[in-house]
Amino acid sequence: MVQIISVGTKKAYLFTIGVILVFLTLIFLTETFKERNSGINKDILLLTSAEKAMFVADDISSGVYNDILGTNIKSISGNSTMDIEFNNTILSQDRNQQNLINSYKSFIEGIYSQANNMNISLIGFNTSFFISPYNTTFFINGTLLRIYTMQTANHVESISITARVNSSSIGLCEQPAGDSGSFPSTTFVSVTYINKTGGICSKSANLNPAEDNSISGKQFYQSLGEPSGSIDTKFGRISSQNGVLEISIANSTATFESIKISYGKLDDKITIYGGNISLSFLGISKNTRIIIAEE
Amino acid sequence: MSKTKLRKKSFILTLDAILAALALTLLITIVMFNISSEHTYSFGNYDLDAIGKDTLAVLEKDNSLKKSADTLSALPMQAYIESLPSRICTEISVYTKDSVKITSYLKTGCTIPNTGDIISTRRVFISSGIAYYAELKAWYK
Repeated sequence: MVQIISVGTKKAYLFTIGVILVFLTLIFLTETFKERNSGINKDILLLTSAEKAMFVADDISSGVYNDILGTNIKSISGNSTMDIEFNNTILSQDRNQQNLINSYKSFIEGIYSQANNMNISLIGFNTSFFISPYNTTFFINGTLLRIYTMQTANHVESISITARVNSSSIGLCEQPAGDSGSFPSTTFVSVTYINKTGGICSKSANLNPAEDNSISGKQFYQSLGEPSGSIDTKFGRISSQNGVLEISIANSTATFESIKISYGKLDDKITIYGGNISLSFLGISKNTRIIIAEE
Repeated sequence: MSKTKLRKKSFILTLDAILAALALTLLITIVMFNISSEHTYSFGNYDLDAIGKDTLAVLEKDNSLKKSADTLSALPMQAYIESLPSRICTEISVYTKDSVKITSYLKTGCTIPNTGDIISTRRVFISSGIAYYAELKAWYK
């Protein structure tokens, strides 16, 4: 009897330990299942969030400078020089790109941010964009276009401009006296303005980028008729900065079929970029530069 | 076996059964909690989201959204929306930057469901320098 009880007790112990082991195994398995699911959910959330951030950044920046500023980068090409050509640029007193940029910025930072449950900021987003590695800034607003080309060294070998004006006749067709020397001490600038009836004013000169070309007799100047107006083109020292191309119109509209800037070649690839987009949501932050074009 | 011994044995057996039942209940509770506390993400929504984004990107790039905003009509967008897979239903709407609806188009044969998953995607576009946005709702038929 004593032996029988002893065997029964051992069996009971073994059974209890077996059951506890099965229990522990089951709990361990379900814990693992829980952790695995949690990991997958986090991965999917991260993936979809990253994708959403990329989509929103692309959505905001896609074609925005072209659509608002009304200027298009037609080509970036090069052999002996690196040429960047802009087209479809319009100078008009009826356009106010600064207002359009401000309106877009407030829309993106307000209604669009709320609709996407994000905090979005457009930083350095204005009517300018930049050309790297040439330290060039392109600015346009209404009747004024400026291209700041020179920080230290002159990289611009030549500038060629062709535009159509909305006047029926061209009066004066003047140009500045050329400066002596060749690139890099001077830049060759040529302008061609065509009126509604096909009349052409075409002029060119070698200009020193460090010379004050905003004074009378130091600029390309065309007076326009029917309606009367004018178009000024200057290159040189403007507003205390060297190497600035400035085009301004009065009482007219000019559509630039081509503004071509030819740079001396540098090793770095050309990147044309604007402001930055900063967005944050669900603990994710993304800061991205608006790339307009790349070589 | 004496009555006292029998009572003692019965008491131990009952206690053992109660403890076993409690342990089993505890185990089942822990297991059910672990299984049910995490919701697995559905990839079905991910597909709809991707299709919505792609559709809006295509309509922006081919200028259909601009044309719709300029003409106040959904006609330029219709052909592409109708070409989407038959199982996928969509409704696309174009809004001004002040959230005023300009035009809207619901895919043929679709009705907006009261329940179930509807994925909503938006894309901003510019026409004549002014911002608009399009919203696409997508769901499975």
